[in-house]
Amino acid sequence: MDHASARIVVSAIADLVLIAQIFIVFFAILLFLRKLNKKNKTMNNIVQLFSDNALIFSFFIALFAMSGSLFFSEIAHFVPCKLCWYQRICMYPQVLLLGIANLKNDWGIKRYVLPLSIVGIVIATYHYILQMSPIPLPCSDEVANCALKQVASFGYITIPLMSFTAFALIILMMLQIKKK
Amino acid sequence: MTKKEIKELRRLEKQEAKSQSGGGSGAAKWIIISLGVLIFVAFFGFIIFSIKKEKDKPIVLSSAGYVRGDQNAKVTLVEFGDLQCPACKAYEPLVRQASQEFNGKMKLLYKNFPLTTVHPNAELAAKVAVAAGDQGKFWQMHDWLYDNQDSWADLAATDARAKMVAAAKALGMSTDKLNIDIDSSDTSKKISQTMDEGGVVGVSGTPTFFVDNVPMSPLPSNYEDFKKVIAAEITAKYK
Repeated sequence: MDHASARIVVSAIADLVLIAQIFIVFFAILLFLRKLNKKNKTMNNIVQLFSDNALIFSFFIALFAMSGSLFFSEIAHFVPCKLCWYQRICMYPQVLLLGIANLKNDWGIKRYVLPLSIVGIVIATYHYILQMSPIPLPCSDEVANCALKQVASFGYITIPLMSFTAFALIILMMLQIKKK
Repeated sequence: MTKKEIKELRRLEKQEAKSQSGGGSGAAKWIIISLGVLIFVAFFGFIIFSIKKEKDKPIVLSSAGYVRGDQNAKVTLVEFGDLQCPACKAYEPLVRQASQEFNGKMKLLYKNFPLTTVHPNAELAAKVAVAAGDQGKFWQMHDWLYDNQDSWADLAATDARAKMVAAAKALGMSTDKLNIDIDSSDTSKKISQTMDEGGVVGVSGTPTFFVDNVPMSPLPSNYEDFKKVIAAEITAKYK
């Protein structure tokens, strides 16, 4: 396939990631403001909404992340490097884990999803630093170059940053469960 | 544990889970699920739809590049080429033979498409050729680069450049001007322009040929097949 379809896939997913990042920032501000003013009803309600439906939100985040990464490799034909594969290993099972947890209403899934996401976000962070730093960090792969920035939308959104955003969102959602 | 006890335990677990999920959010839950599914389908559907639409668009190639042959020829053979690519070198005799055979009816439009990831000197070669073009000698340089590809392809960048500049000098070019032009942003722009264009129209390897905006695919393996495609278009255009 050609660059035209790759461009379409990249720009659409990058837009979505940007929205997700804006959401993370707003949600973090919201959580902070709520700490200052614990009695504000609207803020409590919004946080409560995400807390109550954290499993559903997380499921969709994982589903979007998996589909997005599959679109990158299967439709845009970007070859996933080793680090990409490790991140995929941390993300793909979450679709099933969270999907089944939603059906069974199993909130204990947090104990499994959180470690997966933390490992994933650490790898994504390493991968992003590797791409952005002028000093190349070690990553040898005969198939695909980890340091290669296949896309950089808005000047900073590369694929590992997309993965970072998805893991961050899932972690954020999982942490809301505790606050019940 | 007896079966009854296990059953009882399950029931309690279920109850607990239900109370944990925060009771009143039933409606909200379904709204979120439907919205999620809707956005998911819309989002990835949109991507697939856009790709389909993009693919159905007929290709119209720009005139950017270098023309060899009669400017007024009605048929254009477009080549996206990489000067360091051995396959392009292998097709060079076919292209030259076709240019000769269809002289006056077909012109060649060469677009630089250096595969920079696999061919370390390809971009340099393209720059040298474009810089030579600024002195009106693109084709002399182009031919020299293909004919002597083996002599510079595996050299380090500085050595390869020295060799190319020396060849340009032998072809009667001003080396001072050439060196300035090789490094100019204008040269890079000309190359990235045709590279971007190639990317948009689906060029993934070199050489990729188009006959009047129609991609030659699969790539003909011998001159007879290569010629046939061009001849057909010429017959159509010169009815």
